[in-house]
Amino acid sequence: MRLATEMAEAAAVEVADFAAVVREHQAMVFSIAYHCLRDRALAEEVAQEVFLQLHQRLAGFESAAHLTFWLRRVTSHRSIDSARRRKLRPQVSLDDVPEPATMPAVGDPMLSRTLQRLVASLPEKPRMVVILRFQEDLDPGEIAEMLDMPVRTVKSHLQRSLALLREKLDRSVGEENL
Amino acid sequence: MSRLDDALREALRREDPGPGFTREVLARAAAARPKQSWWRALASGFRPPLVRWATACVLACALLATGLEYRRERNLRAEGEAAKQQLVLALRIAGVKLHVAQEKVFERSE
Repeated sequence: MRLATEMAEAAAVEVADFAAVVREHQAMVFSIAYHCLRDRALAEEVAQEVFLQLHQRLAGFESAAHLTFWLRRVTSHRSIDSARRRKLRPQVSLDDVPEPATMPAVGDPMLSRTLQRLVASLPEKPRMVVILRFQEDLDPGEIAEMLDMPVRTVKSHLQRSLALLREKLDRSVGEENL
Repeated sequence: MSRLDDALREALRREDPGPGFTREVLARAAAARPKQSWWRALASGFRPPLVRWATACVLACALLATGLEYRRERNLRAEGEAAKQQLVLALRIAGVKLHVAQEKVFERSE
């Protein structure tokens, strides 16, 4: 009887710990998936799968940093796989994204939406590099480790993606300092 | 740092998933948990530290008790062996004395 009570208490503690981890990291995990996929339902599905995978190996983490690294890594790879499976890229081509008529200010919702669509139209790996750089504020070394690619490839993806995004925006705003 | 960097940070800032996301994840995790067989449930009962320590103590006590019992048994056997040796010696002495007494009786009778 006592053993059963202790087992129930241990299970309750485990569930509470897991719930706290989900609450703490759900915005990060969901946003990586959402900015990659531009589909809330699909991003939620990917995020849930990541947390379910985490649930199966929750005891195996050495630190909070290790847990965060693992979540970012698994979410990035799952999002890239999901984007490839859904063939999302042909749905939104860079040329199909309408250019803004006037240059909105930074923080403007219209500029943000345009940039989100432009980022979503990049190829999967460069897209994830941009997301990890600007959403998670990671440096190229950390991104390289997370995506299993050389640092120089990450830097090259970043340079090319930023040039592409700048070009697309410059077409509509002239020589403003973007 | 260019305005594009700032604009990208703004555009790619974190967002919360829909309401009920945590509840949904917990429900799916609970549903995905495999049903435990009785012996797995019993084994998992030994995971909490208190139960682990109690098990270790019981095992240590059982080992100690077995050791003490073995030692007591060995001592008893050694004491029995010594008593047997003493009895054999006493019988030998008694036999020799009887023999001497028997010889003296024979000498007198002759």
